[in-house]
Amino acid sequence: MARVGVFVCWCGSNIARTVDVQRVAEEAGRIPGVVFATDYKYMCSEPGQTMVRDAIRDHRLDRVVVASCSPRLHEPTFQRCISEAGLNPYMVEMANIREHCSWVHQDKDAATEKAIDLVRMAVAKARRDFPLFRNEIPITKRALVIGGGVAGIQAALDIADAGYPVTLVERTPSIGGRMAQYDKTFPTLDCAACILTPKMVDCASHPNITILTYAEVEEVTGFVGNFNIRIRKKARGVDMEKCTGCGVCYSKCPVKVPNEFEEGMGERRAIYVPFPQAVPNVPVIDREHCRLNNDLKCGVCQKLCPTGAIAYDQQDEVVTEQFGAIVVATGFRMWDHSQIGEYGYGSIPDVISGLQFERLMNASGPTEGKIVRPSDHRPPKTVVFVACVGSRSENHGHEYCSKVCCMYTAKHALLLKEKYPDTQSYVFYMDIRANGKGYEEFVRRTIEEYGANYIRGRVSRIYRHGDKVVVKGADTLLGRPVEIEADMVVLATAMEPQEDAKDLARKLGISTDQHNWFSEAHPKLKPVEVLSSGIFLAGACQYPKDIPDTVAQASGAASKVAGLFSKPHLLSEPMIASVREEDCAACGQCVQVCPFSAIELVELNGKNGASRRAARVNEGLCHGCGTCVAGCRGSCIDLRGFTNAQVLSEIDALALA
Amino acid sequence: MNSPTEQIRTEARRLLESGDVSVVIGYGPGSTPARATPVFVRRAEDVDRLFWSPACAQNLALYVREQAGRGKVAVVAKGCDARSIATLIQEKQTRREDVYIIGVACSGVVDPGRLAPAGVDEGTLKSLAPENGGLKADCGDRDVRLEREMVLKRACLFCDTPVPPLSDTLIGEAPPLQPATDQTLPEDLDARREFWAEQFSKCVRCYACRQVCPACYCKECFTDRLPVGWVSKRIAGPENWMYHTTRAFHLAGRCVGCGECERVCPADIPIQTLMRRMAGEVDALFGYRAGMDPDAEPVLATYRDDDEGPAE
Ligand SMILES: Cc1cc2nc3c(=O)[nH]c(=O)nc-3n(C[C@H](O)[C@H](O)[C@H](O)COP(=O)(O)OP(=O)(O)OC[C@H]3O[C@@H](n4cnc5c(N)ncnc54)[C@H](O)[C@@H]3O)c2cc1C
Ligand code: SF4
Ligand code: SF4
Repeated sequence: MARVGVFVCWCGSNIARTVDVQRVAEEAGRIPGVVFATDYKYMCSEPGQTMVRDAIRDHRLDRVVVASCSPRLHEPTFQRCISEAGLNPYMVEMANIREHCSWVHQDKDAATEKAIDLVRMAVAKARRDFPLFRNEIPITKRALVIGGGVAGIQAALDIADAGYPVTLVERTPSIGGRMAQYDKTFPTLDCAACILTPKMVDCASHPNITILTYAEVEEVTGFVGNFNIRIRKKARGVDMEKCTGCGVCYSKCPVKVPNEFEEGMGERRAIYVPFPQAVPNVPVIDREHCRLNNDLKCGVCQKLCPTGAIAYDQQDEVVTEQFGAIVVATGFRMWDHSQIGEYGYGSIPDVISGLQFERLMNASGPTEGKIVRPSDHRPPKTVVFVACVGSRSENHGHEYCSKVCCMYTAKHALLLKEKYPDTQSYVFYMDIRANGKGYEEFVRRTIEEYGANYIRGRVSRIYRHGDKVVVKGADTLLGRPVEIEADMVVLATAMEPQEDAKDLARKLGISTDQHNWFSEAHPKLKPVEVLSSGIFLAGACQYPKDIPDTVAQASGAASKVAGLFSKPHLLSEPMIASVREEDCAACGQCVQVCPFSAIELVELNGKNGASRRAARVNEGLCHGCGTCVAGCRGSCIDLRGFTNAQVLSEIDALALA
Repeated sequence: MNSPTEQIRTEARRLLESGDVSVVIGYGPGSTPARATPVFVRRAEDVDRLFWSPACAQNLALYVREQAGRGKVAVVAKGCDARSIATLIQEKQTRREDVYIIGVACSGVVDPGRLAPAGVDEGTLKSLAPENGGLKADCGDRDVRLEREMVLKRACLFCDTPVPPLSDTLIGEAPPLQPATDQTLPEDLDARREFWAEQFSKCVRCYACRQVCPACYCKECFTDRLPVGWVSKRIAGPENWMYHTTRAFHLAGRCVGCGECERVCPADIPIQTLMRRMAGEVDALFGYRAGMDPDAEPVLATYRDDDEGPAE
């Protein structure tokens, strides 16, 4: 016979004000199986916990019900408490008479009745509690970082510095991400390359870091501590071992194609490195455009390469490796505004994007840092910047704020004036969001010292007039229309998740929000975790972020990884599903419905070669969500700690009482 | 052209002689011309035990599962039976390569329980044969013309897959039949609840419906597992209701509508009316019909981003 102790908490006046706690304790004492019941001001306090431990000893309790607050808050407290008194930690049940009762009711009598019901249910469940144990799971202490932007670079460096091997997978030919495209960075205006390149080089030379560029994650199986990950290394066409990075090949390649890194404003060859500081400094052959792949004669690069590194017939290489943790740092992309055609983007050559403006300002960009109009290569005198293009707009599918546009637009206006003091800039904005350290000051400086003309209002139309671009809009502060004849217009277009974000999320078994940004486990308290353990987020793949926030989150993700790896092994979660194999008909429905791919059908081998199949839960992967339990028609699956029998007995306690 | 019986025997002989299958599961004559019995033929010389007639009501998919893992079997299957086999393949209860389906295009089978109300004494029945879209019953002293509506297994009247959607060989041709629409259920919700309350109150919980159903293959049925208390095994209103609705949910998207449950029910509960309703909902929501494609994922175990939610 179970010996249950019930401990009713006042939570100061939080519970006691609306619930007659003494009466709850009295009634609890009458429930069959309850051998001790009491109430106390603060059950979670040290004296409260001592009371629980003493009662376990004095009354030989073998299970405990604490009627207090949400188990999310104090279940771990009382699990620890009763295990100190020698009970299995899973022999405690919480009856939530605060959030579920005193906080949401006024009528004291009714609330007291309800509290008694809640206790009765908890007792019924506790009577069917059984000890649960955690298993040890080994950890592969190697991390995978997906995405080699500043987020991925920072995370890789921090994990590597903590002493663990890291593989950094980047799908373009070089690490660096967006930041590598910028000239200077707000709010301090240090040169992006000057602060990023050293980190890229550190990554390349760090003994704990393996960089796989031009590579992508194809498949993820396994679970925290033991992920199996298949990575495809796309054929580069150049032998990484032999190449010295001399660059002869791409200086002589006859094919010219628009350069992605220059946002289409410059050209590159069919064999190329995306930018001079690329890491690794090994070119790739763009097979789509290489003459040899288009049945044309060539082979120039192979002839000229002094080390014989060109390998046209190189094949994709697929490797499967084990990792213990994953950092997702795949960044963002710019909304393709040309598809909408609004504001003349894509049709008026002198209407460009903020990213294109970055390249125009950059000394290693297509114009070597000269800001000129794409149409006639003349320096502009009047430049209009438009913020919030597509952001904060339900119509364009981005209800959110892209967060960095206000700041980089201010940066652009400031740098423009600094380079060309005789230019005038206008900035159309909805409101200025400059809420970072030194940000407000930066914007003020742009306006006050650099004379940028900020106009609060929307742009309604942009069109060509002669060789000018006319911007029509409204100044909502002055309440009048404005029309500016500009030489160039720069649009701060919305940031979007990568096109394949949803795909990657599916491979990883993590979730995305309605826009496809990766979802964190908790918006406030678990901003780098996701709901699957062992996977962490860094940078703009979660939501638009500036570099300081990106780097902070990357370091946060890295420290989570290091924390995970610092343990000798992992402990499995005991409240997980388990299959009664003898009853399982192996229909496989649970396998299909499990969102964590935690169940598989295994072969059970008996005597004389007889065999049959049954479902089996992988303890490392199961999150205890219970989907399979609901999906199993034969009720052969139970959630330990929440068995069908326990739940039904709770309902019985409530409904048949 | 040989009769279906001849064709089945020829095919069975070929399969057994070549050793392609270890057993042919089919129908043999039963105690009266209105009844067939499942037979298991393991030797080529025994193929004459097999036959085909409008009495072949059973869904032999039931036995396919029992044979799973014992080598390849051949089975005689009507449209609905073949769909059951597809469901079993989808649910990993057998493998496509382990079943050889001798498909038979079917124009409906007889429910012997309906003969007496149609004025035929099963005891004196000499033979039963198809005739011009209905049946001819030789009652010894006289021939009786029977319309399909009067004597077929009720589910057959609603059948829209008389030809097996999957088979390895096909006997016969699609009959020119139009499926009926089920108008049993009252539109009004209260009336409908009344209707089911009355129907379920007749249930004696013999579980014949479950036993005959090829899709009810759980090792232990939920109903045998219910703890005493809130829902028990008591034969009474709410418990019967619980049993039938839960079974209907468990068969949603899986029931192929063979109607065996309804045929074997001693209490004449129109179980298929409930099942058909469920199947209709699943089809409307997900464009899915059970057992049409052995490679399809079971519909209620899959999730697609564009799945429709329930109608408001
Ligand atoms: C025009 C503009 C100017 C800006 N200026 C500033 C500034 O001055 N100061 C500032 O603080 N912030 C600035 N930002 C914001 C800054 O760009 C971001 O904070 C930063 O780039 C985020 O870094 P990240 O590593 O998360 O993403 P990214 O820089 O986007 O890097 C992601 C990397 O992951 C790779 N990747 C993507 N998917 C995969 C995959 N499936 N597999 C492998 N690799 C993948 C990508 O190729 C890329 O290399 C600016 C933004 C814009 C648009
Ligand atoms: S409880 Fe959830 S996570 Fe665990 S096996 Fe079942 S469905 Fe998968
Ligand atoms: S066969 Fe009829 S009586 Fe028997 S359980 Fe099924 S519905 Fe009830």
